[in-house]
Amino acid sequence: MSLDDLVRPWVGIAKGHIETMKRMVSPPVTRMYPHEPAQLSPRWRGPLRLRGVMDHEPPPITDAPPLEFNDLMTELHEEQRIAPCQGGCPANVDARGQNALVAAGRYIEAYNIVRRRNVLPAVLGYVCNNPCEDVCRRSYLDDPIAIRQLHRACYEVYDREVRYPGHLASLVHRSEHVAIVGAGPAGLAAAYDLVQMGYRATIYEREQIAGGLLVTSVPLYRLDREVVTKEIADLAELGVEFKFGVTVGTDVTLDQLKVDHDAVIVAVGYSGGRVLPIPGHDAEGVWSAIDFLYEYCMGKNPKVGPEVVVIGGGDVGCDCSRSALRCGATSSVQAHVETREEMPGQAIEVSGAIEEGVILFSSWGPDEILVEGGKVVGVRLKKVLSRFDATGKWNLQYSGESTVIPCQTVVFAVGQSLQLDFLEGSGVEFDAVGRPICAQATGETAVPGVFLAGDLAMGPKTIIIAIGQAHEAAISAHRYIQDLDLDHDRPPPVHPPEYYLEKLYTSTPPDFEWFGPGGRRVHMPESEPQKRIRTGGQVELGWPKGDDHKEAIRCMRCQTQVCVACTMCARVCPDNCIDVQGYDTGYERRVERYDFVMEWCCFCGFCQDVCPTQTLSLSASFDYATRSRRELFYDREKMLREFSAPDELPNKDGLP
Amino acid sequence: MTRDDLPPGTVDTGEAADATGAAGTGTAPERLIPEGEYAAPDDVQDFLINIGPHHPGTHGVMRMVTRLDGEKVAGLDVRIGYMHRSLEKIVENRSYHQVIAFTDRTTDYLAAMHNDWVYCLAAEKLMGIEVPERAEHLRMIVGEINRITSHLMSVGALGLDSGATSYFLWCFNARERLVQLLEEISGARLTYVYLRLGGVIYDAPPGWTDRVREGVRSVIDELPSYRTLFHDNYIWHERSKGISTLSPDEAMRIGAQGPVLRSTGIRWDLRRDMPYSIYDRFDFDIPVGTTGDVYDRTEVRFQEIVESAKIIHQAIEDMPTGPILAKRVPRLPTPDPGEAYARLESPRGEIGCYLVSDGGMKPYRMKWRGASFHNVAMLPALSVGYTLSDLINIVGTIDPVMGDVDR
Repeated sequence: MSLDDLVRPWVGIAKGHIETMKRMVSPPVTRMYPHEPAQLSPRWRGPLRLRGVMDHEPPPITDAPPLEFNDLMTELHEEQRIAPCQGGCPANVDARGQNALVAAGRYIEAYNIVRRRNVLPAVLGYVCNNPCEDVCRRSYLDDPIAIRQLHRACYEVYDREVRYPGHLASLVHRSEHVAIVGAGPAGLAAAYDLVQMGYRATIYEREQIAGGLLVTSVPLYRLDREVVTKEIADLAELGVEFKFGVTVGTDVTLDQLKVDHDAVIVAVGYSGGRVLPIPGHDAEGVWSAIDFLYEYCMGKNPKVGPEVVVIGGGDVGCDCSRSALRCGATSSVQAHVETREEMPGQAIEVSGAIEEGVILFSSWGPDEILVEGGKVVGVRLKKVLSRFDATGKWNLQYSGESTVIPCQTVVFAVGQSLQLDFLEGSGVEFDAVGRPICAQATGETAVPGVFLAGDLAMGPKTIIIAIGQAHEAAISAHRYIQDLDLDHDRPPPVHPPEYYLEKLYTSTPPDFEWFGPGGRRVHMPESEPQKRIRTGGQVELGWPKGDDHKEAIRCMRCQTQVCVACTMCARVCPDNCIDVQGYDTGYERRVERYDFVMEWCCFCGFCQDVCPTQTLSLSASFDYATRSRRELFYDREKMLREFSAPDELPNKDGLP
Repeated sequence: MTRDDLPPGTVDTGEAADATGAAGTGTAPERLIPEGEYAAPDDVQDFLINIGPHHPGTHGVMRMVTRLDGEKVAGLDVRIGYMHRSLEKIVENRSYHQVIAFTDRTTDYLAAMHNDWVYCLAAEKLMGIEVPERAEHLRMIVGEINRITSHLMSVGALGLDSGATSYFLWCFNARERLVQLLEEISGARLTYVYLRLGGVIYDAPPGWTDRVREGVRSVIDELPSYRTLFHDNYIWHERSKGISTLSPDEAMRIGAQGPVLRSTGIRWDLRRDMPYSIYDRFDFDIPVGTTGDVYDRTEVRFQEIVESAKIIHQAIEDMPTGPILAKRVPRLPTPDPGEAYARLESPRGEIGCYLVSDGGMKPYRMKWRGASFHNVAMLPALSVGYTLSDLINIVGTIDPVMGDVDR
C-alpha cells in the first residue's frame, strides 16, 4: 500500500469537513420562524372562500338619464359590478335589469329600461346582432339568454297595454335647436337623447319615411314595418320633429342648417351600394345589395332572373339571397371568399338561408361576369386559397380553379359606399379613402358645431354600434351648445369579448340537472321555410304566452364577485367537496346554502377557474386552522368571512 | 430493441463520456474488506428477511423479500401494491379536466408537473388543441425546475441512506428555493395542478423569470461544494463504485430507462430523441455514465441538474408574450372517438399516458405508464450479489416513488 493510498481517504474526508464548516458560519438560506413571517405566494392554495353571495337584495338596475349614464357606467366598471351583457353591448343596454323585470312580470318597466339606451327596443329585438348574448355567462352552463328576443316580448306587452296615440308627453323644454341629418337608427338615437335633455331636435330625411336602412334595406321577413312605425311615432310624441323629403345639399344646404340651428349632427350612414369593378359589372342584371334591397323593401318588386348569384357572406349577403327567393327566383346561390366557419354573417341568418334552399359557395371569389347581348348570363368564380398573408393583411390568393354558374342576376353584397356630396366645401375633412374624419368618441369634426354620428363615425358596422356612438354625438352637441369641454364625461371603452369570456368554452350540453327554474334556452318558434318564402312573412313568430317568462328567469343576474349559485364549482370539483343550493323565484335569487368540506379538498383550483363571477378563491390564509376534523366543514357564513391574508384576483396578464 | 437498433452514437464508449465530463473510471476500486468475509459459515443456510413495507430505505411502502447468504443478497423479490388507489378507474369517472388533479398526486408526486404534462399532451392530441407558445415555454420552465427539485431530492436522499446527513440537508436547502419559485407561480408546493388542457392556468407573476434565473443560478453555483462534500468523498467512492454494475445490453434487456439507462453509456433521452413540446429548439447535453454502477447513476442525475438549468435559461430568453391558454377549450370536452398516446422524459425515466375516448364526456380508458414501476422491476437484476447495506443504496439510485409504482 502506497503513501498516496493512505492519504487519499483522509484528504477527501477533511475537504468535506471544511466545506461543512464554511456553511456553518455563512448566514442561513432558509427563512427561520419566528424571526421572519412566512412569505406566502398570493396564489397559495389554502382554504376556499367566497367574496360575496347573492342574498335578499333586488337585482341592480342601471337607469339614469343620458347625461348621468356615463358616470354610472364608469363607476360600475371601477367597482367591477358591471354585467358582461351590459359591458359587452356597444350601447350599454341593461339586459340584466330587463331580464329581472321580465321575470317579475314588470314588462313595461323592462321596456323603458331598454329604451334608455336603445331608442328602438323592439326593432333591435328583431334585427340586432346581439353582442350581449355572445358574452352571456349563462353560456358557461348551457345556452345564453335570448336577450334580443326578450326585447321583442317586452314590446308586445307595452304595445298592448300602454301604447295609445298621445301616451307620451313632449320632453322639450329648452329653446336651443339641433338639426339631425338622416332618420336612421343613429339619427333617431341622437334625437331621442337630445329631447330627453330638453333640446328641440329636428330630423331631416331624404325619404318620405323614417327609419333609414331599417326600412329601406332590412327585408320585410326580418322586421315588421309596423314595429318601426310605432316606435318612431313614440319619438314624435316625445318631441322629435321630422322633415321628410328634404335632401340636404339640394333642398337645404349644410351651411343653412348651421345658421338655423345651434348644432348639427350628421348621421346619414353609408347609403350607397358598392359593386366590384370586375369585367361585366355594368351589364344589365347586376345590382348592388343596397339598391336591390331598397327596391324589394319599398315594395317595388325588383325583377330578378330565375337564377340569382349573391356575392358576399355577411348578413346583407344573406338578406339578398333570401330576398331573391321571395322575389321569384327559383335558385339562389351565395358565393363568399370566407370559409363556411368564418362567414361574417350571424349563425341564425346563415342557417335560415340554408333552410330556405340558398346554396353556399364557400371560399369562392368572383372572377368575371359573363355577358351576352348586354345581359348577365353567368358568373365565373375562382377558388380562394387564403385570405390573409403572413402578416395578417388582407390578401386574397386564388388556386387557379374556377367554375361558371349560369345566372341572370348578380347582387354584390360587398359593402356600402358613402354619399356625402353635401359635406364638400363645408370644411369637414376627408381621409385618403374618402371617409370623413372625426374623433370617434365624440363625433367631433373640423367644423365647430357639426358632429358625425353612427356609421359615419364608426365605419359601416352594426346597428347597435351606430346607436351607441349616437349617444355620444348627442352629448357632444349638448356640451358644444353649453360651451363645455367636449372630451369630458365619456363612457369606459367597450371591452372585447375576451375580457369577459377568457374562461368561456364552446358549450357542450351538460348532462346534469340544473337546479330550480330554467334549463336550456327557450327557442322562439319559426315559420316553415317554404311557407315563409311564399308569403314573405316573418321568420321568427314570437313566443307563446309564458315562454318569455321562462326565458327571463334563466338569467343569473351576474355581478362580479358575488356568488349567483350557478353550481359550476360543485360540478367541476373532482372530490365532490362542494354543495351549493340556490333559491330562485325568477325575480329573487339567492344562495341558500354553500357547503364546503375542507377535509376532502385537494386544492386543485378548478372551482376558482370556472367561477364565472370571480367569487371563489383559494386563499393564502391559516385563519381556520383547527385541531378538529369536525371543524373542517365550512358553511355559507364561514365561507363569507374575511380572511387575514389578501388573495389575488384571477390575473389577465396572458391576454393578448 | 437491441443495441444494434439504436441510432449510431447512442451507445457511448468511455472516450465520449470523458469528453462530456461524465465521471466514472469504469474500474472498481480495491475493497477495503476482502470479499470472503461476507459469506456465511458453511453450516448456516440462507435465510429470508423482509425489508419493508415500512422501512425508510425503501422510499415508501415497498416490501423486499430478501434471501441473504450471510450479508450478501442471494435473491430478491419485490412485493408492491400497498398504495394502490385505482387511478385508472377513477379517471373513467371524471371529466377530462378533472383528471389533471389526480395525475398530480396519484402518480409520481415528486415530479408532478411532468405527470400533468404527459396527461395534457395525450388529451391535447386527442382533442387537437394547439398550445400557445408562451404556455409551452412556461410548461418547459416549470417542468425543468421540477426536474431539478426531483433530482436534488433523489441524490440528497441517497446521501441520507449512506449516512451523509448534512448532504441531504444541503440538497433540501437548495430544493426549497426552487420549490418556492414553483409555489409563487402555481400556488402549491408539491401537487401543483398548474397545467390545463391547452396551456397553463397562471401567467408568471411580475419579475418571476428574473427570480428563476437567480434561484437556478444560486443552485448551480453551489454544486461544486456539493461535489466536494459528497461526490468526491472517498467514503462515497468506496460505497458506490463497482456496486451494482450494469452493461448496456443487460440494461436494455431488463427495460431500463431514464438515468439508469443513461448511466450505462446509452445516450437515450426522449427530450432529444423524440422531442415533444418545444425541446427541439434548445441546446443541451445528455450526460451519460460508463459502468452503470451506483456512482454513475448518481452522477448522471447530478449532471442533469446543470443541463436542466441550461434549458431554463434558454427558455426564459426565448419566451414570447401572448396568451397562456388556448382559446375556447371546451369546459366539458367530448373528443371524437379515438385514442392517443403521449410519452415524455420524466426525472425517473419515460412516462406515458394512453387515452381512449368513446365520444363521451369522460375518458373511456386511461392507461398510465409509470417510470418507477419499471425501475422497481429491475431491482433483483441489480442487487443480487451485493451486500445488504448496498441494497439500500441501490434502491436509492433507481429512485422509486411508490405512488408511481402502484397508482
